[in-house]
Amino acid sequence: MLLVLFLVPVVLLAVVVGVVLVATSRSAATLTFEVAVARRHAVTTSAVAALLMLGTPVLLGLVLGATMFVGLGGLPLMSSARALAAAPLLGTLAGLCTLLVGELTWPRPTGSSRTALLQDRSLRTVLEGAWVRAAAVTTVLTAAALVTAGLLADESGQAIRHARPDGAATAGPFPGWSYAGPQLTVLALCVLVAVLVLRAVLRRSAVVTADAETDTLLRRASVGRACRAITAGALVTLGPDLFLGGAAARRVLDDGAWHTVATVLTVAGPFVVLAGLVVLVLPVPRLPAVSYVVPTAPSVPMSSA
Amino acid sequence: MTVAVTVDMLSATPPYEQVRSQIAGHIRTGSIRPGERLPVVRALAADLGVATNTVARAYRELEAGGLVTTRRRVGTIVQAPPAPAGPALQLQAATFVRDARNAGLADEEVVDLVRGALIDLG
Repeated sequence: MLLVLFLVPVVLLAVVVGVVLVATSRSAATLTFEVAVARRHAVTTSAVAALLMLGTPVLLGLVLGATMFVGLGGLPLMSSARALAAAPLLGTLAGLCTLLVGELTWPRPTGSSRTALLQDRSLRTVLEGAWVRAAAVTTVLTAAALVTAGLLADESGQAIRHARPDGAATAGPFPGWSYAGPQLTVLALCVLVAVLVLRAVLRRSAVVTADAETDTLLRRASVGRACRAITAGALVTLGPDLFLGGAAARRVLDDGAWHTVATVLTVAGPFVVLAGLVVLVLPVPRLPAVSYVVPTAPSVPMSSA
Repeated sequence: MTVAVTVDMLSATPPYEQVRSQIAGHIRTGSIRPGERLPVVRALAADLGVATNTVARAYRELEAGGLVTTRRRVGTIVQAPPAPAGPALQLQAATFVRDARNAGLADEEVVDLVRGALIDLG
């Protein structure tokens, strides 16, 4: 029920954003052939990445559920829970790997005559924008939350213990190292692949007939897609951890300021998940819907390498 | 810096020489000013769809000619040309190229004409 409550507004928002994007998107007729091909390549890659991002956790859940309940001799319950805890980030990893493949297969210049602008491309020119900041902040926050939860958990790594005058109280599930360890590992892998995507974006060939501004915009869009994936993955991972961790902490902390903090974290958890799902449908930088002046560079055919 | 370099893969002139001569031309005419940074070798090679060694060799030749300097972490920076062509000379060169093109000469034929004149004048 809670899942439906979350998914309905996100799906509605996705439909609205999709309609607005299609209605305001630049017509391919106003683009040069090569820019249109490059944009199509980027959009296709992004769509496949989004499908894998959403499909991987669902598929993992179905497989683990089937092996657990049908009795196909799957993973032990604890391993399944750990895998499910890292499922959103595994989806992000699959999406980022797809984006990396997309960047490495970016259409390359072919033909006998090839023109390139003598433009110095620095990391700074493609790392501008809110998506980069959002990815950095959410990744650091998630990593910090996971480490904190790991340090607060008891030796089992699955519960939190608090010493009280009437004896120690223990509550779980708590995202200790048992859950946070795999999540941190996959998060680190996501960051690594995101860095490889940035490297590929910076090194890929420029679109032959694109002017400097269009080329920079296409690169920023690619960076935005990678940052959006990692932002969404981090938030959808952080949310359940805050909810479960906060709920467990509330049970062992009777009252006082820390009890209030735990309550706030419990309530914030679902909203963080919602924010992660909303992030997934927000648009990245794209070509402006204004008249496009075709530069003087000669047009040569391009092909996907 | 929004100047471009074009490589004709079917030309008899090696691609590295095409890159070198065009960048040298841009530097000498002031289209690229001293202190400006050239693209990294790998990026320009990717944009032109040529081997990295092709652009690396062009940059080496430019460095040997004193037109650029390459330093680690800084990149390839344009230097002031050893014997800068003044505005009057640049104007004459532009006029000559325009006249030659109007006469129906291809760019390579214009270069051949200049080379011939250089040989004739010793």
